[in-house]
Amino acid sequence: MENLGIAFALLGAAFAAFMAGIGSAIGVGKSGEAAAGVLTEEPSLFSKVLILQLLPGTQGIYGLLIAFVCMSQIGVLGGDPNLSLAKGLLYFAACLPIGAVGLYSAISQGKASVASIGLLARRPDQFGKAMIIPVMVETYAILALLISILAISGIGGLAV
Amino acid sequence: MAEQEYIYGVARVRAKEMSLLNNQAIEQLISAQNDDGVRMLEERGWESKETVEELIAAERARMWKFIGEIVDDLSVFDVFLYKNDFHNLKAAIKMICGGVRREHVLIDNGAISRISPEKILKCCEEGDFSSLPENMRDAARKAYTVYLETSDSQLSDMLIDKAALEAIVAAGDASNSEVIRDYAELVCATSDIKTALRCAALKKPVSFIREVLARCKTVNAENLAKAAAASVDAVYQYLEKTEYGQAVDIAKTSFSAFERWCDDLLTEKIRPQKYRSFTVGPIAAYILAKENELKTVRVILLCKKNQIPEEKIRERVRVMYV
Repeated sequence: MENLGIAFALLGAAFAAFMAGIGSAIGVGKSGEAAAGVLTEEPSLFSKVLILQLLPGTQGIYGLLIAFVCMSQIGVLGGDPNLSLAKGLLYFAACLPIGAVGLYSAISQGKASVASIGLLARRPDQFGKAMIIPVMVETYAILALLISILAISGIGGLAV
Repeated sequence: MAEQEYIYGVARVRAKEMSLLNNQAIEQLISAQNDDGVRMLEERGWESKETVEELIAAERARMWKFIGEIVDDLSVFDVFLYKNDFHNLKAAIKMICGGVRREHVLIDNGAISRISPEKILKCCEEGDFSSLPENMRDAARKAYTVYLETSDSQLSDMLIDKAALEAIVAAGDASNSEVIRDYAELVCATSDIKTALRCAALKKPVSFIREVLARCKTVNAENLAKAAAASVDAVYQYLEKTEYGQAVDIAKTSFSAFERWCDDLLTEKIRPQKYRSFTVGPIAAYILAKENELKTVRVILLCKKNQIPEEKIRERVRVMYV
């Protein structure tokens, strides 16, 4: 029972990387299909289409970042890995925002990217507008990242 | 079950839609002098052919080749080929029972064909329709028997037309795609209206009209049949009460204007597919838009060949999808 703290904290880190990573894989996969379709007909759009394809990939990076910071804070990457159960649960809770929001926002952003790639195929001169639409979804992933980072940084100083 | 996604196919269609002729290009085609129109089409990637029919057939084959590249199972689009298959059946029955063989009457759908024209012809020669697709079999037997026993080619044709519409409606009902459902309903309803108008003009009895009208959701076949048996005006009065009410004035001007209205209505119905990205809808809409383009180009080129004035050609030109 005395090791449950670190177990929960590591579970939180794994959740953040795992869920956000799955979301990004699905999002980038969907937008990749659309990108391949447009490039078959219009290879000259490669650089623009590539940017739109990669947009849903950022959530996976955010998940990785939170997992890394969490593991660093709990001592898995060096230091003292002894955590109370309460702290372990707090770290787990801190990882939830980016895990859950990362999963859902990456899939949604992937769909928005697919639609924007379609827009680009019809109007290659509207790249700016085509990019802004999926970028809007990114806002919520960034908000979740911010909360997860603030929470993880704050937990270390709590006397629980 | 989750609806299948066609992300790759739709993305290719989005890029390909740019090469469809828009209203401006159609206007240029109408105004083109001599061979400038054909040259304009060739510049857009159309193949160079001797005749208009060959040009259209080559472009249609190119379109289906493209669709074959982006969709694994082409049977989703069988509904668009039913008209050709049933047309072949009508032509084959006439050729065999009437004893007159004609070239270039049968339409070959090529690689995407459900059933080849030769096979339909063979079935008619042998009088055995068991190898035809299920939705053609009964109609083929009935029409074949009617033609042999009464030599009434009109009734034989109408029986096959009705079977074609019923097959299209059934395919529409079975489809998950909004475009295919709309297409099936619109084709059936407008065909029923055209048949009713023809029957009313020819003063056909209600029993005959009932026999040839197919059932659909937006037009009540029974009420339409009764109206057609009464008079052409009764058909118009009935149509006023349906969602096709605005077509009444157009139908009164000319039959070809009504046909044009039907095609334009279909184009309007499929237009929202320009903004969909995941379903089969945009691909189905592209096929219908291309067919509309081929029909319009054919009309323009044939009219120009026959030196019909530009304003007369414009009356027959359909609204384009892009």
